[in-house]
Amino acid sequence: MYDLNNDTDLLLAGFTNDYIEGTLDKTEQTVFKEYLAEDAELASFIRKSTQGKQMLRNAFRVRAADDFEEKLAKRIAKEKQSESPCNSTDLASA
Amino acid sequence: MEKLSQKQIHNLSDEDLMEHFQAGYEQAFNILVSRFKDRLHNFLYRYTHNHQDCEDLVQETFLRVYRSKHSYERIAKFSTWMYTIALNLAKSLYKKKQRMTTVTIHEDESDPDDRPMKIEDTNILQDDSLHEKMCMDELEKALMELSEDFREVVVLRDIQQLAYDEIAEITDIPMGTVKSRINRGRAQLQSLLKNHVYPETISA
Repeated sequence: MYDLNNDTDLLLAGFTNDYIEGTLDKTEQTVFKEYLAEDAELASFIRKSTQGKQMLRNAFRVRAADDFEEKLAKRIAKEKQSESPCNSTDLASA
Repeated sequence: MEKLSQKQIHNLSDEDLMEHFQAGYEQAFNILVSRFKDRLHNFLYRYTHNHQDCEDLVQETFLRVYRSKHSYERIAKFSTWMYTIALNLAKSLYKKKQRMTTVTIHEDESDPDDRPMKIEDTNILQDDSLHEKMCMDELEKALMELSEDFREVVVLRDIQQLAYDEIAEITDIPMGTVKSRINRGRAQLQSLLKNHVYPETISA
């Protein structure tokens, strides 16, 4: 029996995951579907997990503030100042 | 090292850029920052839910990349190496915060510097329904309710879109465990959000 609350049955967890991700080949998918037809608990778990995956598409995307790179450059410059000076070559002007 | 044009520099892989940076070309580092700054914000925000903390963590991640450039070896993907640094920093901060207070996803009113993060697609908030905004807020709340073990792999996979082998390497857990935790994390998320109707999931 697949323990849905444990990391123990990793083989079945792997198949379950590959099924949700759609990465099983045709034969594996057919066999796995037959297996699911006999295991209502696992089938229900897969439905939940698939829905959870779909919900995550609604997550908003966060991006850096416009002055992020400027702030970082300042911090790096400050750090460099406190260390011994070292020359670096600018790739663009090289 | 071979001299490259601007176009060639921008076409380099992350790993090639890191090699150039190791050789002293600072612009290679700047390109890496430009490539990863948004992805790191998007990742680390799921640990902080606070603009300033998130930005600090991203800055700290890049600073560590800068300082530790010579410890990077090409056997690893650059992104894997960098995400490992970011995740470790996030975990440290998260633990520290958990000790201090309950983490909230809402704006910290006592902190004058705390302001909402920039949302990439601003049209979503301006034009779409309140329902969609609520769904996003509920989703963020639910993500914070997942255990750390589940949240980190779910975020790396479903928000950061990283490959499974990369997630296994970043989190230092076996692939089978990664898959198991992602399955269970997603299912838990669904359970937490089952009362909210998501347009994309109605027919699922």
